[in-house]
Amino acid sequence: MTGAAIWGLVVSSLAVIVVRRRSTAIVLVGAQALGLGLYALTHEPSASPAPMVAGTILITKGLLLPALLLITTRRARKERLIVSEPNALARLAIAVSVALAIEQLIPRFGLLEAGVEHAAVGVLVLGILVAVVRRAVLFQALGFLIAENGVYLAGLSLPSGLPAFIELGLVFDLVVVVSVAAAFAAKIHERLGSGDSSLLEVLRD
Amino acid sequence: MTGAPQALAIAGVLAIFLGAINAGSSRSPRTGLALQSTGVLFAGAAGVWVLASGHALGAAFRSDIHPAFGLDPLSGFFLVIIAAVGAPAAWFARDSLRADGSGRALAVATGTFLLALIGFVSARDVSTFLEFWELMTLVPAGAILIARQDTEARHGVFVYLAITHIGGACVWASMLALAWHGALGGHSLGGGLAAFVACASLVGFSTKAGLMPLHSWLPRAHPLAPAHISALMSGVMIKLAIYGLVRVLFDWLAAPGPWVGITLMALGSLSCLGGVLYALMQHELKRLLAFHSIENVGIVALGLGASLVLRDIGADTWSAIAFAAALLHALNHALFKGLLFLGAGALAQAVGSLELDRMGGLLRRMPWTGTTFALGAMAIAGLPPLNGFASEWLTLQSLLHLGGVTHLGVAFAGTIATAALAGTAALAVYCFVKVIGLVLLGLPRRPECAQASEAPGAIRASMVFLAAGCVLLGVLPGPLVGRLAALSPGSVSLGGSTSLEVPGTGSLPTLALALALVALVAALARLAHAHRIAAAPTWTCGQPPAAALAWTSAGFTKPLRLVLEGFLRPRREAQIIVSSTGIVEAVAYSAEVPHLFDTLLYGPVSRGALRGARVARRLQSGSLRAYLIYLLALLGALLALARIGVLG
Repeated sequence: MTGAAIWGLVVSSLAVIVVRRRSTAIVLVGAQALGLGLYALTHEPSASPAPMVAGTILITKGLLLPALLLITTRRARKERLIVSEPNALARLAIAVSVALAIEQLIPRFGLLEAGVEHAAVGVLVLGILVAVVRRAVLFQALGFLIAENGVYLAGLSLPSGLPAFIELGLVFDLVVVVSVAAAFAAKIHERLGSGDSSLLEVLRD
Repeated sequence: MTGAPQALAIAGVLAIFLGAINAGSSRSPRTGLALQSTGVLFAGAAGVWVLASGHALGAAFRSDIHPAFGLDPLSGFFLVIIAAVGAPAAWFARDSLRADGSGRALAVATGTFLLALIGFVSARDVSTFLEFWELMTLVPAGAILIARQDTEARHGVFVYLAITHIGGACVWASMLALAWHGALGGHSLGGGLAAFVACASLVGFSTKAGLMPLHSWLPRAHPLAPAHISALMSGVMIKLAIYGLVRVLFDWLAAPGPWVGITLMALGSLSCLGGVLYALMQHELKRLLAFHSIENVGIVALGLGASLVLRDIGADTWSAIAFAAALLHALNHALFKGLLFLGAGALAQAVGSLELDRMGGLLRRMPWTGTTFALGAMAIAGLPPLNGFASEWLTLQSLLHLGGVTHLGVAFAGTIATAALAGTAALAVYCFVKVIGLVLLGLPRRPECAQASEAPGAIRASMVFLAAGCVLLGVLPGPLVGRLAALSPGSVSLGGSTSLEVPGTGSLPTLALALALVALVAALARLAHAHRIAAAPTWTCGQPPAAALAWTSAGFTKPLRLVLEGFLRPRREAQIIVSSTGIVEAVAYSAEVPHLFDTLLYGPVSRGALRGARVARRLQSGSLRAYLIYLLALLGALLALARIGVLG
């Protein structure tokens, strides 16, 4: 994978942390999955069917899940400004500093290219951080998709790829999680007029 | 397993299983309970064979997690304990359980409990051992909740499960450490890890055994259970914790060091003195018996601790004698405590309340129950020629020998332990004089006591069976002591005499002593019949003799309470209601001896735990973001620790 593609993944993850529009974030995450899928299908052919399976799954995921999330955003079009969120610059600063700290601490875990390994960890951590710093339920679902893209990046860098069973299991889990999150986001928007998950804290007993 | 003993053991287990199914599915649980009783006797017969022959059956202990079962002489002995109490307990339940849903459920729980107890002593791998250990804890809790659903019962069960599971965690830690290092498969564990295993097993098994200060669950849980389950809990379950302790300290650890033996003796001294002292202050019969279980487990711990210390200083013969004394007392306690709990159940069935101050006059109205209960009381009080005397005498001999060795620390520990045992024996007599006096003798204090009638046949038969065991082991303990001494790690052989023979300090001719006592009692009875005595009312200062003027439990123990006031810290409250004309209209008096371990130890600990839980609850925000932050923080901390070399 080229350095530009790897940087593209990292930058698009950072962009999801700062963008305001939900549709932009959804497109960015979908583009990540599509890019990874195209790479899996087109990079040097191997005897293993794993890259083919991964590529197909990633492209399907890159089309299906963003479509599902876009439908959800259309239903809840009037989004209020989420005031409980830190501003974009603060979110970016938090995400970059935590991701860099974990990058420094984590030891090498055996991928062929060090750059890909760093990028995979970075995208995974940034995905979790999206779920932490963004309050909207929809962004939290996007955070999990980004984290999973980090796992796929690492998997595609393995000489034999990830086993197909793991690929299918991952995508099944993710479809369930994102579908539930989408339904949940639509429902709380309908009731509370916002997708801000912090509003749910007052419901605690 | 091979041959007849194998067939007996398997038939026994199958009979208990079928008995439990039958009890649960039939209209009346009586047939199922009879099957369970027969089954546990069959299993006990296999235990007797293994103990007598010295041969093992089935698999040997191993350190893997593949289920395996077998019996060796030590587990055979504990199987005998299970059968000795389990068979009469199940038989007793035939007449004590009602033929309704609750009775059937309790009968099923009885069978499950028996299977858990048998499974625990016959487990030969770590996973089966721990599974049956947990089952043995959970089944009686279920049985209590089947029998009673009130707040007191639920709270008692909660305390029981909480404390025994804290102990259980230590048992898991010690067993897994032993299995990990292959110590269950024949290579004893030594070195630094052995100290950890010794500590964890002391805490874990002592908690279930009810040794002080880890006993707090026992006086709460045992009185709540139905009588036959109380008999199994007090007579058998806590002995199986002793079995676990013996396995770890004597079989699986290589010479754990004198500090383990001295710690065990210290716990034993505290338990036997503390147990009997608090038993004396109780006014409810089953709670009093529960505190006596703590006392007797303390005596067993004294014997085991002495055995470890004596082995450490090279006195192998005396170590084996102390070991045999401890095991013999475990069996004896199972017999007389089973008898006393079943007796308490029979009395409760006849008169309702077991408040000591509301009973009386029951020996005349329930002669079989009263006589066997009195025999059990004399046995637990350590009176000759009954079994409690034999094992306490043997334990005392071992401790006296310990007091004479040249190691100052060991001699001091032996002296303290001897004094504790002697004091315990005296106080136990004091306590059971009170029990017999208030429960069996005197005038009935309630109409229910005056109208009480003898217990049904199955209950009487169960109690006679256990009472016979108390007499038999008191009169002829010698052969069993020889077998038990051979189970100690030194495999010392003692003479096969019928009496108790120990080197150096002489012997106790138990049979001759029993015959002399029988002759003396017969002569006194004959003498009493020869001179007729005219019965006259007791002089009560001119008032008519009434039950309200009789001794009370608190009155009987008041001298001791006054002497130990500084330690026991009794609370008294008297309220006198006087009318406007100066006439006393009513007097209300209440007194209580608080349980100091609850006040000073468990109270502060549980308050601290609740404060900690309140703080920890703040972490549980319900917010996904907060949980992700915890996850990232933990990941970062672990990575940082790994980077600086603390982990890995």
